[in-house]
Amino acid sequence: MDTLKINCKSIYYPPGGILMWIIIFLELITFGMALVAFVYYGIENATVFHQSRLELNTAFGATNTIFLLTSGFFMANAVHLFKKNEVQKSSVFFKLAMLGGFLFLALKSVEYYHKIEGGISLDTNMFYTFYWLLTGFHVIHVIMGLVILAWTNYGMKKKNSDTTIEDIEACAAFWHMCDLIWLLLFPTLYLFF
Amino acid sequence: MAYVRFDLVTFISYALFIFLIMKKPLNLTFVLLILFTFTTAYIADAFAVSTFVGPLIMVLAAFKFLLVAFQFMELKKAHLFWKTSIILTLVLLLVLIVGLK
Repeated sequence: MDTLKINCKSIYYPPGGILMWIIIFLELITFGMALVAFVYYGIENATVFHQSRLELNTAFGATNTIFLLTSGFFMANAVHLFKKNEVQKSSVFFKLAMLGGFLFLALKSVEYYHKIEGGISLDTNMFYTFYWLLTGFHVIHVIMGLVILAWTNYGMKKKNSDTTIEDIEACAAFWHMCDLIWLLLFPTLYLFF
Repeated sequence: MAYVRFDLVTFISYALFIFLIMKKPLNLTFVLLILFTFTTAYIADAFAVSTFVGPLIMVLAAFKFLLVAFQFMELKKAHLFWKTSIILTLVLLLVLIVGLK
């Protein structure tokens, strides 16, 4: 197994790889601009946005933040252990990180179920158009992240595995990106108006 | 109810203390992230009608964002370009979001 040290101080080798960081910046800017548009329309329709915001379950949102942050913490530990060549322990932390992701999706499903049951859809009002699109795209990222985590975890445990620390760091960077996006989405959607 | 709350606070404080004395930067980062999350929820609940709540919540979110980026994603080890870029992106978004309101 290749455990060569990468010179992260080089501009071309940020932890996770330059391509992953380009993706991360593109995602952050895309979600960020959508949030700016959300706030812009929120000022124009202040009453609607405030009333709709109050209908959201803040406890669900805060709990999901805890799930994602805990999952990110486990992921960071998994990378740390992989660097020390403790692959088995790293794999355990991978699975714990994935558990956090699944808990996030489970709670999000409950939240979506309540909304759909209450007749709230994409065209209920401008607030909910943003709510469904932003949280929906984020959920897709989390699902993709879980697939990447599962695949990487499977690969790293194989005999004569060719999984490198770059692969693990890239996988972790994508997973943490889901945290970063949620850390901006949660306060803006659930608490700001 | 007050006793239950007190016990819960004692339990959480004790758990945090145990966690902190492990002296790992990742543990400390995680504890700070959880504390910021609880603080955000408390502020949003207790001072819902105040005008400063929105910006304060976004500032706390920014701290959490930077903790994840620099500690969990290990951006602290990266080239200055990446550190500066992420901070500038975050500041730009915050200024636009908070400034618009």
